[in-house]
Amino acid sequence: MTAIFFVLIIASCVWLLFQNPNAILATALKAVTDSLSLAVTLAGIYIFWMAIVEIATRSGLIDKIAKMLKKPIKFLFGEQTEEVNSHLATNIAANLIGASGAATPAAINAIEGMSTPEQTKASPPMIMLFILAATSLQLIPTTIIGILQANGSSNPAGIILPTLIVSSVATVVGVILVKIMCRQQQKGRK
Amino acid sequence: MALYIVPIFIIFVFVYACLKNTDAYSAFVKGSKDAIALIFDILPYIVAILVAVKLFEASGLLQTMCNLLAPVFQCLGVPSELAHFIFLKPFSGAGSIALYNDIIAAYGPDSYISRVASIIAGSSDTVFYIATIYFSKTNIKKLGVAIPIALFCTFLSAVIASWVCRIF
Repeated sequence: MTAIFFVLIIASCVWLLFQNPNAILATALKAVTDSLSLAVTLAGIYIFWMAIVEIATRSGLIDKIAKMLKKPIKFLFGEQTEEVNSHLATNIAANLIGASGAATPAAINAIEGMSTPEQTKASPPMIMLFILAATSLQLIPTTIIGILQANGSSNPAGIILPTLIVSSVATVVGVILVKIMCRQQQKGRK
Repeated sequence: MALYIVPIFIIFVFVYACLKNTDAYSAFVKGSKDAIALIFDILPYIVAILVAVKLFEASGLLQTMCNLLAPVFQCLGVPSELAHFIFLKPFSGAGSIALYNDIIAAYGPDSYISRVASIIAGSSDTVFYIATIYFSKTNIKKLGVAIPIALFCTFLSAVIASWVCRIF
């Protein structure tokens, strides 16, 4: 991340310096303001969903879901503590039903649970979780259907099946790539 | 049907908690409290990635990269009208949703271009944003193969989406 941050900032600023030097500070400050309003929006979403997830955790519902998802979780992430497993189950279940507001906090907590304070490099299960998010596990793209509907599409639900096909292929390819690449790295270390 | 899943799930959580005699009120408050702490944890990361991405967009480098790579996309069967959208997607969630709305408005919701855009929007996420947010509560800075694989999958889904939409 540090390298990406450097490249993006230095390349963009040098490029802007020759075109429009005033834009550098203006853009950066606007971005900071935008992040604050984004954080407020996110806070609303996360507060609601984390409250719901906390209720589901205390009532034992999350444990039930975790038991149902035990096998896929073990295949994808290997052996993890019970707490991490329930975060992972929350993340997967939330992604599948399209409640991404519940999925992201669960993923952050799962990754925190999998890491140690002195760790600086992402482990294979963390990369796996990240790839699942990047390739979007969602069964039904509710936001997209909503936008299509609002624009007068003749068949907004028609997008569900092709989206499912494409995102499944991308997810499977992603999972396989993570498995292969991480195995090679481990071999390299031995 | 799709629009009922989340509301029904929310009702189910409360009904289930009620049946199991769970103190839903205290749980709700505790969950909210954790969420507020979480937002403060991730806010600096949101600021950092947004500053970098906005500068990248404003500098025109993103556009330049799109123009350079558009022919490659065309070879793979991806409509060149979508090159900018595909490039923006890993960087900016809000930006790509705005662009998606423009595409739908410009080409009509039932056109080939719009359907490909819909699938791309529904089958990938804001890679650089989740890369920062997911690791915000740890000291992890080296993501190894994570970002290359994620970007590869994003572009792969754009290519497959263009093919799938010719069939459906």
